[in-house]
Amino acid sequence: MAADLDDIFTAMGRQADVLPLAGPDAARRIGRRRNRNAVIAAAATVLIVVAGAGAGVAWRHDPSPEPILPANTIRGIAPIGSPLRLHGPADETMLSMIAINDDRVSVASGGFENDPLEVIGVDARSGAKVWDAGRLNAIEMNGPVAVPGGMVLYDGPDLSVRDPETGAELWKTVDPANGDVVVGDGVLVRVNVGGLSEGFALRTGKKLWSVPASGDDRPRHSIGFLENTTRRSLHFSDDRFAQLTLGGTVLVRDIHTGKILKSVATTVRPKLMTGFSVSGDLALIKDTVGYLDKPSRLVAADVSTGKVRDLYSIRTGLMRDAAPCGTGRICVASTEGYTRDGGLNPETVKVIDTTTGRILWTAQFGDALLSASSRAGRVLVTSASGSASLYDVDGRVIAQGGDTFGHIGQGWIDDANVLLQTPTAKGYDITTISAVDGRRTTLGTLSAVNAECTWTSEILACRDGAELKLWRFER
Amino acid sequence: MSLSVKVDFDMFYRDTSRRLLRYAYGLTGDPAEAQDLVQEAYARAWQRWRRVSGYEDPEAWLRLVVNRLSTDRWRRLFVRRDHATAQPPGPTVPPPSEDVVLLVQAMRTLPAAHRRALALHYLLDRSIAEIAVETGASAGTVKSWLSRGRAGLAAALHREEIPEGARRGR
Repeated sequence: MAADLDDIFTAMGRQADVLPLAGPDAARRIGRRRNRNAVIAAAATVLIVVAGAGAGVAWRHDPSPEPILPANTIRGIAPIGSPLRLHGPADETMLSMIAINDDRVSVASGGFENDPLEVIGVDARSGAKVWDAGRLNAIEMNGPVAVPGGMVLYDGPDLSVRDPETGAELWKTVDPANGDVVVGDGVLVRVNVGGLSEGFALRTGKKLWSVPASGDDRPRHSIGFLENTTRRSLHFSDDRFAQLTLGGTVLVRDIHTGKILKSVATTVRPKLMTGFSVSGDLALIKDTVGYLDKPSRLVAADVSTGKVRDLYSIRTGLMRDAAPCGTGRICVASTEGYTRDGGLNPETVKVIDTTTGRILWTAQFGDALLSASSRAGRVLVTSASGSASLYDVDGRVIAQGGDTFGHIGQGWIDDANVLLQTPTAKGYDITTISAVDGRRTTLGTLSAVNAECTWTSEILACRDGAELKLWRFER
Repeated sequence: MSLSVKVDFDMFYRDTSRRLLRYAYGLTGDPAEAQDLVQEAYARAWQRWRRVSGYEDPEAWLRLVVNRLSTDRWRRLFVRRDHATAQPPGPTVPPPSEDVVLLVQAMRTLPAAHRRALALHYLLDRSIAEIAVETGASAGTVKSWLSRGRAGLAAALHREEIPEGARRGR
């Protein structure tokens, strides 16, 4: 090759310059069609779900959102409408869940003592209540949950899909206790504990397909392909979903037909505490027996190539969890080996390159890890004592603190901003941290009795005492 | 949306789409895939144009979309399906030169971060500082990406090393 690199890239640019483009009309047409059908999924509530039998870390994976540029640091909030009195006791702890679908906020609220939750819908543009779906039959910890194209509400043994615009029930089915629900591309997949997998049209409930459990090798875990997943008991996906069978096979199925697109055999024999997640083309399986003196490993099955390898392993200690942590990266939370006096070594989070298996950086913590999430390569880690740390793509600390940085909930607003709820003497401060430079902005203080927030990149919805308050983020 | 908004979007498309296509081509090395990614990025921009148009640098937002889509093979397949029905077949283009073919093959052997840095640097003329801002990495990391990217290209192209002089002096 005679030319130097500059010249070859110039030739490549020229080659690109002569490629035809369809023009803006085609882009507008596709965008318009999407807008007709799609509802932007809401951010999860900040409720931390501790999985299984105290198995440990609950990794919150925020939706794979459209990137938001760092220039959009949040500088404040503007109230939307007037506070709305919620159903439930004013002066004692109450239960509430909030979900946001675009411009509609769905809220379930009530007391803990024999007080079924009331479900209402609020217009996020005006703050006005627009529908009332009545009371649930049971005290329920799982709903509502915003999904693209609808709102899922759990009510005891029932799972219903509702229209967030009107609150109307679109259809209803049985919640698969100890099973999995995956929502993606307009389809709701229900997998019961026996392994029966069924796909339903999300808006109509029409059964699209059904795959019976196959002997003893039935699906043990089912999960979506979007790295946001497990919003309470729901997983989110695109036009596929993944299953791990009792025999250790990773199945990738078409979400519209249930047909197997790819099957990859592994040596894992999954149990209840086996972790299963997806990062890009990699199915990640945390294979552990739960004993500190036994080894644990993280198995990566490439559903594109069919290759299976141990991505990381520990001889003794506890592998709390592993989860996608940006493109081509995973975070592994673990405590490995023992101290001289027989105690466990400090907990660490390791960020690992999934291509090479190389540990890119490690952070050490003084107490048990609670959650981790990643946006644009940056990683937010919180611990059980309430400390939180925000790292850049190379593992350098952007913001960090002890208990005073602590939280009752935290998460990404967008690529450039993190929201924290920090306990103070007066209540809970709502604070944003710029993920770019670590700058903190206190937005306000919520009640010490009841304070819980849900947000999208545009709207913040909080229960403040017995009231629902809405704000719009100002950048 | 109103006519003025459409005009605004169309002008933005006209001003930026060629650069975005260069970038997508650099990342993927595949003309059809680059075309699909560019269309997909603008479709997403149109879906939320009111917000995107208010950004300080909407073009950087599009590059981020293209970058994310290009690193997700499955999503790329989905995009391809979506656009295959939306577009008529395009006219044929002259085949790339031998050097470009070799470069495309070499780029495919690189990690995504290196490919991204090289595409921004060589195809869009972005400085190290600008790439650092766009990727959220430090300038040192960007230098490392470029250096390792060049070394990777050299290895893939069966050359001992691509001379430092190949880098643009900035």
